[in-house]
Amino acid sequence: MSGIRQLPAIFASLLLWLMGWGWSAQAAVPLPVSPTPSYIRDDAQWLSPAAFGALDAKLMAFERETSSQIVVAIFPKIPEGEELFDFSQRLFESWKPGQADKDNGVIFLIFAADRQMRIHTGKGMEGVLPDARCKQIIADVVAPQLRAGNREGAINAGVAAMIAAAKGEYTGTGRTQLDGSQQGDSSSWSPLIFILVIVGVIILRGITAGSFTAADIIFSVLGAARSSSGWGGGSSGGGWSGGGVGGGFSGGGGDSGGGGASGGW
Amino acid sequence: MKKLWIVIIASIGLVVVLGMSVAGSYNGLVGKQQGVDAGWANVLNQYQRRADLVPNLVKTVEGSANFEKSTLESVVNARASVGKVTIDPSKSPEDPATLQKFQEAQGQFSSALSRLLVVAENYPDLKASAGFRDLQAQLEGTENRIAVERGRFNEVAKDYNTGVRKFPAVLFAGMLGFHPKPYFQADAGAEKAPEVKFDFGGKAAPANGR
Repeated sequence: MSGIRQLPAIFASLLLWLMGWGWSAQAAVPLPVSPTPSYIRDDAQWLSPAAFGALDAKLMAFERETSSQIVVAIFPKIPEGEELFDFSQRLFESWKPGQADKDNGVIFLIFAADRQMRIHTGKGMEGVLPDARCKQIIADVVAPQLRAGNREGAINAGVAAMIAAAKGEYTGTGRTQLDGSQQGDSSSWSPLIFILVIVGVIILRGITAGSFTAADIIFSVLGAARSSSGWGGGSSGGGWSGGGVGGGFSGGGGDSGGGGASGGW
Repeated sequence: MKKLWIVIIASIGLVVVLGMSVAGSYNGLVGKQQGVDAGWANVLNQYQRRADLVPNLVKTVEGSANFEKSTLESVVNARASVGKVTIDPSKSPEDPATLQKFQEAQGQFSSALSRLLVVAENYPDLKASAGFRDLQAQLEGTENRIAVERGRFNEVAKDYNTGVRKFPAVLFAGMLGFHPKPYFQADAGAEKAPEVKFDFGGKAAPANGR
């Protein structure tokens, strides 16, 4: 293994590095952010506040019931230099609708000026919403209403058709991902807080008293346990009680392999 | 005497550190290689799914009165020649020529399919049938899935290849059978899922591959 023999490898790694740059440059165009905590992003302002609220509540109830996340995204047009499918796929990978272990998410995309739409399904939804079914919903349910100028009716009917197709496939927990993530945060944080408090107390006692006994440690641990449970209990209680009123969309980590269908009107 | 001990201890330490770093990078490569093979299996899965649609497509199109025979035949032939390219589904190819051959066969299949969809535009009864629309949606979806899985394969292959060429892996990777993997090449027109474009805006995609 002389230095000269390594040269091609070095060049190759340099080339790879440069190619990596080329690939990542593609993803440099900023994507629209997820509508968290809402299930709808209505950049084209198609929905009245009342219709928006009703649809949002419906989608939230659907997640509580089935754990599946359907997200609606209405854009004025396909962003400059983007292609409909690639854009939808990247948006899905960014918003991550659906639970991580089920991939049961869907994004219903509308591009107003292009008169194009797409139902983009997560991997776990391909069973209940196969491509052909998505195409049927687009062409037979949504497109006729859009041609008639009934935008709210079209969106509602499309979502209703997806909900009807997806119902029964998965069972929900009665909570949304947003409730769930608050709950998860407090439970994953409290052991860390617990340990930090113990260490802190021990160090403080050590500094102030100069030395500490076994009894000191036991007392400090008990004290820390009490204060930590106060912490954990407080925040998780907030998450639970918020379940009835709060909640909302937050990507659960679902993945899509590019399923779904597109169509115009 | 004391100096000798220092040298001995230092070299033992060096060997241990080097050994650990080699073992660590070896384990990393094993994991990455498995990732590449899994990505490869996913790509082949989607190609297979597309091939499996052909019998149904043939049946549906044949039902349409006097559909252009040659178009249908070229799809069937391309499907057959794809089947002739033998490729290991569990292990991603190491030889760029193998992958290229596979890609060319699949590319010809792609353009035969897209040509058929363009020709189908001239058969209103076929276009209006629910069966054909479903098939078209499935074909489009499969093309999209192929594109996604190919992109993901290239990502994991890039990660693996970078791992192989990094120090200290570059010293032993070749000896232990870790060879760089070729990427899927983006080919102009033929593989760019022309069906999807063909469906939008009513513009017919170029049916000829390249």
